Amino acid sequence: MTRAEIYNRVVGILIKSFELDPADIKPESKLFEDLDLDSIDAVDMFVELHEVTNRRIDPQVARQIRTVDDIVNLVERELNGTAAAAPPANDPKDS
Amino acid sequence: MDPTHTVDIAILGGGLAGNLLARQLRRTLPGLSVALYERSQDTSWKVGESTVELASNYLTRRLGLSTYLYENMLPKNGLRFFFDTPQKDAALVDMSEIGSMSFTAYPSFQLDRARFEADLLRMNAEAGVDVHIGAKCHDLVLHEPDSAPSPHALHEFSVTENDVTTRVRARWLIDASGRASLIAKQKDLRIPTPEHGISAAWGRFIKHADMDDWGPPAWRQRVRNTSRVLSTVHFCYPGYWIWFIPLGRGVMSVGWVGDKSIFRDDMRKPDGFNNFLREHRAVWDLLKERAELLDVLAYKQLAYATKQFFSGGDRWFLSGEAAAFTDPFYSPGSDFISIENDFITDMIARDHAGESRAAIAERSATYDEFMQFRFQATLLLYKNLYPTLASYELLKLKWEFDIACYYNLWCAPYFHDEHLDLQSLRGELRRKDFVIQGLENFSALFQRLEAGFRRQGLLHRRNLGHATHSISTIGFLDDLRTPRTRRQVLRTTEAIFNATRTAALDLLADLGETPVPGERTLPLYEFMLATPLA
Repeated sequence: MTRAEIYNRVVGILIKSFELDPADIKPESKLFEDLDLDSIDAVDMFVELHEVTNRRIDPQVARQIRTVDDIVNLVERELNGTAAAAPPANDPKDS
Repeated sequence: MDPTHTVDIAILGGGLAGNLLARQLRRTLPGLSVALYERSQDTSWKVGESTVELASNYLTRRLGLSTYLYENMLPKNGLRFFFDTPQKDAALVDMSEIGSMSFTAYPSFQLDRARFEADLLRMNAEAGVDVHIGAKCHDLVLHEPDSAPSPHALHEFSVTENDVTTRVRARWLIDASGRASLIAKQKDLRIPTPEHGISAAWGRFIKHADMDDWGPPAWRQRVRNTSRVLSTVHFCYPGYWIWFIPLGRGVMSVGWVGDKSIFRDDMRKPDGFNNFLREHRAVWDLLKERAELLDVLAYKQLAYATKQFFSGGDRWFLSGEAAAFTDPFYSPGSDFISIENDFITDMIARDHAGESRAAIAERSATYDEFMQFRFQATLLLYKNLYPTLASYELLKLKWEFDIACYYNLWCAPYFHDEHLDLQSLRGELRRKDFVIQGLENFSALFQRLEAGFRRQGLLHRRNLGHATHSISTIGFLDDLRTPRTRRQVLRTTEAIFNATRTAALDLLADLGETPVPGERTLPLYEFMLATPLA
């Protein structure tokens, strides 16, 4: 996934899960202050992110999340981490 | 060739799981024929006498047994815990106690399984279930359409009764045969759980002392003269507990459950069992030489898991101990039966109504995943936590956490049949890894506290003279009468988690340990990440 694709996916999750207005969501939007999410929403968000990355959320990284961009960074890092650690078996580069 | 007999639904096993399911199927699907096969001639005495709130809701609401239970069984007065000295020499009235001063808001019962199952067999026969007693089932052939020559074939097995063998064919087959586990053995479903090595030995006594007519008036007044006898009474020790459960008509079930390393083979025999009990003053004071031990039984390894609970698409199902077992502490066995029987009845009803095999198979997989989740979460209540039983303070903390989570996460959804709503179930299953992580985090916290208390010799420090009668974490009980939103459930979870963690932080401070991080209140997601809670 490119960064733009990840951003769109994250925005999609925010709109679907929390019924946010797409116009309100910007990369620099603060989740708790600007978008009015709370600690319960955060659990739902982590469940969604877990399904995107298929990896355990790193607690240290999770605690740093403040903005939409922070989520995008987390997903990007997790996905890259997965790719580096375990390339898919059918990846043509492997053969 | 053996004579053949064809039935819509065959239930292997006439114990609690099989009988309750037979009753449920007759009530829900009166157009389908149900046959039940029980191997034993006499309804033998079985362990598993206590029901908790979820199973009681199933028995009363779903199965219409409220009047029967109040007329024939004992109402249960919740759980009660007593704590002892390291020398096990405290008198009952000196022991610290956890247990309510009144019956709880949601009913539960103490069951005399032998009487209950005999009555259920009779009631089922009267309701049109084809009941076979002393019927040994064997030579089972499961029909699995994907690998069978004819998609319309039926499951088949032989039944031998009074030396006559009949071949039975059934569209739906339920294994409720307990630890005999006919289907699980044939399909190699059983998974050992060596990580939870717990044994049990138990017996029935008569002529024991009456705990409600015991000790000075002030001791009985301490619980406002509520009946302690009607509680499931636990005497708690490091690594094990001893139960007292009244079965009515003068009979008391007394059992030991504990770490396999403490189990002694002679506990399988009356003398050995009595000798073990005699080592505990308060327990023995209630029994002494005057009480008569009627019988004794034991299992060295109680817990086991299963690879699969149901195959709705292939029309076979497991219920009760034919599938899996965790631990008798908190009596979850009949809760598992309740949920399993609901799932089985639902799948058969949908199948009978013409729902596609693919849709039922998909539903079956979701139900199965939920049972696995429930099993995993239940085992986390116990695994590595038996040492905390030593301490009034630690068990009080753990008990308040466990009971609150039980009401919030398991009972309430059941009360409103959310477990039969696929969408709701899938939502819950999406969060399961986080819930399990949260429960693991608390398990680790309790273990850390126990280790700290043990190191400093504090496990027994409050085991005498203290009492807790109300539970601070369950202030939400009245909210459970109507369905709650997911946010309400999670908000309650957050409150329970914070209350428990705060109390744990205070205990850690007592130990002189510095908690990290130091915040007193955490947002819910913090509890569900792979990071220590203190």
